[in-house]
Amino acid sequence: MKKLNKKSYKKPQELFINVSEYDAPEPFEKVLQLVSEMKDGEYIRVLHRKKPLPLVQMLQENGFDYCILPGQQTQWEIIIWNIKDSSTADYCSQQLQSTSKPGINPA
Amino acid sequence: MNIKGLSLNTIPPISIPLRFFLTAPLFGLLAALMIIYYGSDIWASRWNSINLALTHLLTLGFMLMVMIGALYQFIPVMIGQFIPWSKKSAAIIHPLLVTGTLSLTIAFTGAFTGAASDFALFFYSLAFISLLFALSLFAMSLTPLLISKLNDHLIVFLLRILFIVLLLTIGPGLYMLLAYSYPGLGINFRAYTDVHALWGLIGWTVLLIMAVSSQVIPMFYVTAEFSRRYLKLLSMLILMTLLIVSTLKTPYFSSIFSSFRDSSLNNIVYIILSLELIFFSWYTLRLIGQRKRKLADATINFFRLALISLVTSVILWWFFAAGFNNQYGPSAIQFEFTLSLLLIYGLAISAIIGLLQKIVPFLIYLHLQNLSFAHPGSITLVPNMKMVISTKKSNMQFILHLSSLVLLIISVYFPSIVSIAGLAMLVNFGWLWSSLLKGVLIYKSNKVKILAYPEIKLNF
Repeated sequence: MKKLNKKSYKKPQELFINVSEYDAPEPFEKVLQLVSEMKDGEYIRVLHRKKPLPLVQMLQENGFDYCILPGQQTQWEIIIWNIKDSSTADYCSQQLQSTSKPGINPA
Repeated sequence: MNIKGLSLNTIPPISIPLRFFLTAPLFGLLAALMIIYYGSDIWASRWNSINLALTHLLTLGFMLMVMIGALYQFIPVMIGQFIPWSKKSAAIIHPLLVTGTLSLTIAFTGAFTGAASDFALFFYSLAFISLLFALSLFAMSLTPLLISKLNDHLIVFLLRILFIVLLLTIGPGLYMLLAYSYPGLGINFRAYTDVHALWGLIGWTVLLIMAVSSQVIPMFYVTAEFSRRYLKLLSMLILMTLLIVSTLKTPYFSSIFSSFRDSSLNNIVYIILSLELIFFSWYTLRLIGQRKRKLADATINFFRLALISLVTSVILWWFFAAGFNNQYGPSAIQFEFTLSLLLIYGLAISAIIGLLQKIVPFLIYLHLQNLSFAHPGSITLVPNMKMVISTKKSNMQFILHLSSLVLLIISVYFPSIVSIAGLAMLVNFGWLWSSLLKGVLIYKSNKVKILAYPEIKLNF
């Protein structure tokens, strides 16, 4: 993955959803709904009580990438972005690697 | 710790679990037909071959069948990797399990009529070979998971215990089957049956429900997570207690402890076992009662019924042990049948029917949703879970299941209503099978419609 200077791209917009209190498969449905609405320059941050492995596998098979992190407010946080949206993908990857995370907030 | 874009294999082909889930109710239907056909002979004796056939139709044909299908589905979801060679092994295990269970039923029922003993011998041998291969293959496919270092997962821990319990249940069972096939072995059937029944009814049934509940209840009903520490400790305690009970039942130890008149040591161990079972029921019912979103959901009643059946069976057992089996009360044999019905039909089958009504619609939704991703515009063809099995259907299923359970228990004491109880059971399993089948038909027809939409090729 090519390294970008933080200043060289516009900060993407975060779409946020907390599905930690929904029973299965509502978290699944809600996240997929949001994914279908996601545009270039956007990524999704999901708060969840479980690691939704089937969901992230499905996303991965359909052109999205993800990262699962231990959460602060809920047990897990999942960051999802579109692989084809390269500037957002780079932003998410870089944010996840760095220690200071203005947009993405791993524990 | 984070998981970054690992390549996951968590969604096995839908055909793997569905073949087990769709076959299981058919064995329930067969069991119900047997009850109707044989009538009150069913409850004549615990050693009655018809009764043995009935028990194994429900335990192997229904419970084990669903358990294997569910493990193929759940393990990848829990740990992110498929069971090795799952497609091939499921394709072999399923027909072997069907053949084994049917052969055993034919052999038991043939033996009961006393006719055609060579005929029965052939089917005992066929049952032995089929079940031995099916279960060995399944054990082999689970071995990499069981010896892995995935110690963080509660389900892996519970599956390890369940695996030991299943070995101790099925081992004596297969040995007895071998002895039926080769009568020259001359084993003590009663002693082996006691151990087989104890590990099957208390060990396997309870630990299976414990493993299922720990995963399904928090996921589908948004309860707090089960305490890992409690469940690990409890499952270990149940395993240890059953080992002690089995050891005390062996001739060597029973002679050593014969000085304990009135089986004081046995009673202490049984009290401990009862407390373990009651604690598990109380703990799980409490979690269900404390769930945050108390949405009306018929399937949760199946889990409640399962746990109430477990508590009732423990209480009944103590009534029996305390001597309420005098000439005015029910006989020992009726108590034994009541306990077996409560544990198999009340505890295990209730929870499994509840599970099937959640998991089958979920799988249909999941696979159609995945397909719809690659075929934009087809999202309206993805049914939500309630469209696959409606709340109304689930409510009716619960009424049918509860009434068949009550009627079966009453029929133990009033054999004249055995056929009515059998009919109620037939309707219960028929309703379940038709609900699941309808779901599969929805899946098949919507899959064809989704595939008719243009596919988007993703280029990474």
